[in-house]
Amino acid sequence: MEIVEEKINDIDVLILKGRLEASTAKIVRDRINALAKQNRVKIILNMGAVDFIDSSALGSLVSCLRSVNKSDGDIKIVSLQDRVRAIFELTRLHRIFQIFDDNVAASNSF
Amino acid sequence: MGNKTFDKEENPIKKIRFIVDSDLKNTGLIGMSVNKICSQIPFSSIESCRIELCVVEAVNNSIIHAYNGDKRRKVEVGLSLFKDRLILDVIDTGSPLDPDRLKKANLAMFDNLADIDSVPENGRGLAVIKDVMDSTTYKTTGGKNRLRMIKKIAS
Repeated sequence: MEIVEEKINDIDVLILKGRLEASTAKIVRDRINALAKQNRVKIILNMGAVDFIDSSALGSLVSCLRSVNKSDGDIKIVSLQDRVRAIFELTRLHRIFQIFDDNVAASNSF
Repeated sequence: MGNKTFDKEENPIKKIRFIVDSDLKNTGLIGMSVNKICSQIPFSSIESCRIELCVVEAVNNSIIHAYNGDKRRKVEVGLSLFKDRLILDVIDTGSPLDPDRLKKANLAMFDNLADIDSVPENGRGLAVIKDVMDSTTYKTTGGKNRLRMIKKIAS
């Protein structure tokens, strides 16, 4: 799992690459928690280069969302591959996370 | 989805078995292999990914729950291809799964969650497996736990 970071104004964009699963979810969780500690709680997760996600990783994302929501922040999901979107839908988490086609649409939603 | 009855005991067309150390880093390897095999059967890209997810969830369960994270054990994954179905077995020799967990697992429990605070972080794995597969059974024999998942192949 690789993370490349960008900024759009006061929004942190984390561009993820690889498989997001039990063995790698902690990397993303730790990074989001580190941002939250600095009160950087407007976060976009660009997952266009994520080709798999498991329920452990989804659980970590739920935990992160809960955490940033408490600081009036949010996590928006961007550019899901069809196969990953299918997993979000299977696990009903498309009802919890806002999902956008691109970073601009997601940033405009904050 | 409920369990279906399948005719048994003809020989599989093809059979393969993977054995990996019980390290979560290995589940991806197994998952990608299963996905590739499924895509050749052929299942669709989305269906192959769902089957991959089931195997990853089952292997994760073996490592995290049956072996309590011990990386020195083994997890075996077997695929048996029949004309009308794919059988996937995930086998460990750790602590058996409480049969009630499999019985009660149901994705419907995630259907009506009012807000983020009511969304569970864990507990989706078995529910996903039961939803995606046509049959899911769990059996412990001679110290071996076997989760058997069966997926029908459309004719």
